[in-house]
Amino acid sequence: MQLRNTPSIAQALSLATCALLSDKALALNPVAGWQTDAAVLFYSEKDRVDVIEPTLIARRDLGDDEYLNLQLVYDSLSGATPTGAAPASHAQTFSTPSGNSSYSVAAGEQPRRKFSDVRGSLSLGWDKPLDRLTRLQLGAHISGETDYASLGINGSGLFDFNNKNTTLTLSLGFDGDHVAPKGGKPTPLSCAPGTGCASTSGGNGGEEEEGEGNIFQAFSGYTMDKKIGSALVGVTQLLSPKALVQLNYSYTRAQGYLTDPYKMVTRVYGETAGASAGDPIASYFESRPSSHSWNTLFSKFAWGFAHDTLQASYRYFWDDWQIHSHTAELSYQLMLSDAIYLRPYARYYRQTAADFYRHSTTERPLDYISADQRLGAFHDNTLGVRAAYGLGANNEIYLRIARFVQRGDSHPGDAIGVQRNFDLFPELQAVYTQLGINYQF
Amino acid sequence: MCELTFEQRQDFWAGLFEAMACPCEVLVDAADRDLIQRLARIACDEARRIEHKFSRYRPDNIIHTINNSHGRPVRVDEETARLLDYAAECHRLSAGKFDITSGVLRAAWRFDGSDRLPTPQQVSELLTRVGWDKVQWHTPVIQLQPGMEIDLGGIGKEYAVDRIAQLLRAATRHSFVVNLGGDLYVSGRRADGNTWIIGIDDPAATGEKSIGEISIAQGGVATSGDARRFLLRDGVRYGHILDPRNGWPVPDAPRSVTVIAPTCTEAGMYSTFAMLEGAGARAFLDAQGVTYWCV
Repeated sequence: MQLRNTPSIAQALSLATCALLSDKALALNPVAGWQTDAAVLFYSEKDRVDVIEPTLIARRDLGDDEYLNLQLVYDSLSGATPTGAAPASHAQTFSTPSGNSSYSVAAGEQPRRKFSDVRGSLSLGWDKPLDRLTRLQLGAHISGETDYASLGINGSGLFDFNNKNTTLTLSLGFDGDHVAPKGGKPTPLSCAPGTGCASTSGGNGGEEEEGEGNIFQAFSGYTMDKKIGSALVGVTQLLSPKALVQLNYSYTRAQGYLTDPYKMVTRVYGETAGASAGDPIASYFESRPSSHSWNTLFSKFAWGFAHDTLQASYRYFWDDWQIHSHTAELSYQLMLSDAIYLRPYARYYRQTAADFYRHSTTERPLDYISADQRLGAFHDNTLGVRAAYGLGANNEIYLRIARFVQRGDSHPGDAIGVQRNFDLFPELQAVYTQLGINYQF
Repeated sequence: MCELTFEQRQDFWAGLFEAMACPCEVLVDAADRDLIQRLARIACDEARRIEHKFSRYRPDNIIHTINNSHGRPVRVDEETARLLDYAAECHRLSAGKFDITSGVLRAAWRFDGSDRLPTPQQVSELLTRVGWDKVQWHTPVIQLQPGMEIDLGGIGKEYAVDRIAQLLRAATRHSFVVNLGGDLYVSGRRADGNTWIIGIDDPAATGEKSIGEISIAQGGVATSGDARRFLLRDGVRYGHILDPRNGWPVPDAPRSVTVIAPTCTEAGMYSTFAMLEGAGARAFLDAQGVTYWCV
């Protein structure tokens, strides 16, 4: 007898089997212990900043799918960073932020101040299942620089459903930061000493690097100058045992002292000044609104082939300062042998300028204004590769090398007079080199 | 402790061991003895782990705790919960024919080739203790009625094959075969582009006669059926596949069904479901669109 109407259960059985064999939550290697990732990153910008950053990430398996996470980062930064001040057709002299010395900038050059700083940060996290379908993650972090201190807490709930093929993530975070610039917080829109206004300090004329101090000093006198709250909702969907798609939305709001105390904006002579048009009159400390809220939409797709993995992600960012940005990233992990893999990756980023961004101004600045190029329009790309060599089942050493190039509008249409002769957004080139080891014990 | 032996066969290595009361092997497409030693060790450890954890014959595991809970609720771990979720789904998909509580019927049925059938009364008494729908399963807590038992034997071996395959895939990129007593998984084509060739046993002469060969690039293979386990009375052959809904053997079940599916676990379910369909086995398999051999 032929049963003509036997229904197909293939799809339902395949889904159920997929959930059974999904190794997302099931520890295949139920070894309690420490999984560590120790690395050192060298980041070097051409003619600007150098950073050496050792990091240690450790994850302690407490059993029953419960984990303790720890992350330690130390940065040592030094070099020269743009101040936002405009170049001039003559050599310029600026005071250091502390007001104790001054430095000069050659004609036509972008003003940059020399600095050095150190930063240390410690993050702790606790990750625990509440029941078979719910995880709770709690975290706290503390970080300090010579002139900045940050404290934060965060919490997330992860909810699995649909046979564990779907995960909903809800997160909340709060940071309280203290800003303690050398020489104190300048009054926004006040004239920077030595830039054409009456000088308030003498200076010794030499080039002095700022930044003696340690990572703890900004905690003395800690006050919450800046509060940042964030919320995230995300969905991760397993499409097959080897493919997943992720979509996150987050909203963040910062309030308080959001100005960069070291950035300036230069008032230049207008077109009516003839040959002097575009040359600096004076530079003023920048001023930003005391609130900033931003949104990000993030999507990611990961697909595993036989042994390789393709990942693609896209992020859209928009805020109430009128900055919109797009980030796209693509990586492919290629297994060359049992022990060696290569992961080439490419990243592209593009943003519009904040509505109060000006490369310079012809008026005495009275309202929010910044010439910080990080708030300007620019785009950048990163090309890199990570190579790893496996040392047994859970250990590997890896090397990551990447090249970064950032470009903006070097000759904006609204440049005034002599400013048209200068490169107002010099190209930034940087190289990342990171060497690390993943080790389990 | 796993006892492993190794054989070089033509141009690949085999690692052999015993687990789950059957001969097991891992084949790897590499002329590397260290690799096969490592992979066979992983496979054997995982097979033993799953056997210890889910065997109904051990007095020290979660199955024993559940089966001796006397009606009390038992909280289970993540992996057990996944298997119970899976068993519940298979019960639903088979309209109640696949049931992990049907093991108590073994008390009445002994398939030893004799003519000793149980009485209908014996069977109906046992049936009061059979039925997944009598079980309270609210992840991760299971509550059986007193006298009921569960047995994951119908899933365990195929599940172990797929778990081992996952571990081996993480440990090597060479093509391999995991074979636990005939239920197996093939990870992909061999380096020379050829497929692995799998022999299908004649159910009447297991391990001695082959009735066919499967050429398979990737996927799971599982077989249900044992032609030597039956009862014979008044010229009627009672196979050992019991219908948990009435407690009697499924009439006209095939002697043996072998199925190829993306995973060994799915292959095992298809072959088990097909046996439970009795005379409808082929129609059921045709409707699923899977490759099978039905004897």
